[in-house]
Amino acid sequence: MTATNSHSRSSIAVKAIAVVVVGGAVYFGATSFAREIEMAFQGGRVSVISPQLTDGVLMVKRIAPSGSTIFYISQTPEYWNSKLWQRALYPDVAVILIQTSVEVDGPRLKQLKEKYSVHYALSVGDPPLDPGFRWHHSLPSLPGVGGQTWFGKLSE
Amino acid sequence: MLRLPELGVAVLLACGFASAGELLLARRSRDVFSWNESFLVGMGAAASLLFPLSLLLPSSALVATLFLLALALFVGMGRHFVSRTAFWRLGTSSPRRLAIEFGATSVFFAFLVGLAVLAFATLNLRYSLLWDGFQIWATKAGLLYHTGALGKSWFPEEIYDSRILNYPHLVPLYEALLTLVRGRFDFNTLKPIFLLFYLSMSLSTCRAARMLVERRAALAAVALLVLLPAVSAGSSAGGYCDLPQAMYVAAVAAACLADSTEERGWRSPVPWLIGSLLTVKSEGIILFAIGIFAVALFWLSGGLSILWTQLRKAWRGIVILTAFLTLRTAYLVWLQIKDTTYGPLDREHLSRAFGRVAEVASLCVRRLTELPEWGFFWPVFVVAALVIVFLGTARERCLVAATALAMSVYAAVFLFTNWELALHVEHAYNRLLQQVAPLAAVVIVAAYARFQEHHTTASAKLMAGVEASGLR
Repeated sequence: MTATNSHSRSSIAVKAIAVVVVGGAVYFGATSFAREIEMAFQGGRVSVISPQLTDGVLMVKRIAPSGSTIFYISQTPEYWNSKLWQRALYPDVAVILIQTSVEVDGPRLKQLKEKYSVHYALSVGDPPLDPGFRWHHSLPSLPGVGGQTWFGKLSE
Repeated sequence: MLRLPELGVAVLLACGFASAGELLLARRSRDVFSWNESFLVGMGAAASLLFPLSLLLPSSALVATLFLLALALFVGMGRHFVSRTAFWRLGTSSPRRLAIEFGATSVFFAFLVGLAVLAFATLNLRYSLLWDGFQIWATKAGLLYHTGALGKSWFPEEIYDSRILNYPHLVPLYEALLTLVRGRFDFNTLKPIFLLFYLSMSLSTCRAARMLVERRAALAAVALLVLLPAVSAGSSAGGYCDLPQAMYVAAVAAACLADSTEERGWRSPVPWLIGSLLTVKSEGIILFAIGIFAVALFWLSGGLSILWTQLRKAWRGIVILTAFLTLRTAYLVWLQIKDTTYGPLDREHLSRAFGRVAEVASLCVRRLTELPEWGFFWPVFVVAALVIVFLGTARERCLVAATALAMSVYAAVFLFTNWELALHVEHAYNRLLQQVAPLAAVVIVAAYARFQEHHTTASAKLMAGVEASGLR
């Protein structure tokens, strides 16, 4: 009888543990969902291509010929907004990312300019780096991006 | 943003994949579970065939794939119309009767699953694409859509990121096909397919668990899985491909555990599904090898002669697996792009790997016990695994072996990373664990069932013994 009681107690203990496990799953799941849903509906990123980027892309496409290649120059190395521009302009305009001021001042920029016949550039920063613009316009900056965004034609 | 038109197109494409799967398996789906299996077989086969199609049709492989899917759908609809089989049928009972048949516990778990699905759908359709979802998978889809086929070109001067071309293309293919039907590429319209992946993963997990335990425990396995924040929120809702990889892992487990005697040879979904593991993410090669190992281990549990007999009978399956592996390898050889994220396997890196073992183990254990992401899931899995080792069946032990091996190999991979170690483990290990979480959920409920059975049997024997001895 003692052994039988022991078996019953073990079975009840396991059931209790199962209840705790399921309860824990419900708790952690529910709190996570609530937190993420709140984030998603209160300023969470809804669209990967923002209206500001859409406007900027239209302005670039109006000036840079279809099939051309441009530079995107970051004042500081950055791998999200630069790639947003790169993907948003594809396939009409190809974008080469220039991530440091060293590259802007060095011989690599000239080599790439000749290799890809680059005549235009985007430059983002506070203030943006000047790769040798002949002229440039200011574009709307992307959400969360400080400084300014310039787009212009490069000197020959 | 409900994205209903895109969801509709995604469902239509899923029907095309399912029809293709039914043709490959020479069968008609008899319920939603077999339809789901056909969907996964068709999708994996289409993803695998995209590379040879791209060589044959360098700018129209995508259109050709869509045409073939449409043809398969047409043929499939014709077959269903002729045979009048209702593949969506779950049962002819009324909802009230179903609730009574299911019982309160099952209804409770089904309710939890329903809530989790709703939460995931909300996040999936509300969130935009997150980092990898945008920069890797949707970008590959965009390239595929605009070029019409797989190619060797990434963005100009992007030497390091060109390794992304190596990544498999099941999800980019689906996204590109959806875009082709829509007529215009838009990053914001690609997420609905992930809702289908989530439902598919849940169905496969339920089916896998149902092979081992009763209905309410199977629903408990699904509930434990979908309530995990790591599975249903975060990167899963952001367009990452760990969710579809988990979907295939669950499907492989379900197909292996079902082990239908009706579906053998070319008609067995097992090799198609194991092969499809190669078409989602690069680390699928690890899961591919573990899947084969688990099947072989199960055969070996019956003795060497059984293993040999089964291997001889499974020659068709081996051909299918070889085909998947050959296509994947051929694609990588064709690209000739080296990924410098890991290795190489030289003396210096091996020595560094050996010195990192304790640190990697510590970092990975920390991830396993991260309450906000996993709750008690992984510690409970460890206990459940031990229970299965002592009380489980051969199939269940193989399931434990496969899960533990995958977790270990995934951790071992970090020994060779060239990224900053702690950062890489922090960013990647949870997502890798997500891929095998369906297996772990099934192990947990199976362990509970075996423990309860063991105690019921032991108590019954004890009572019988007591009564026989006249001591009562």
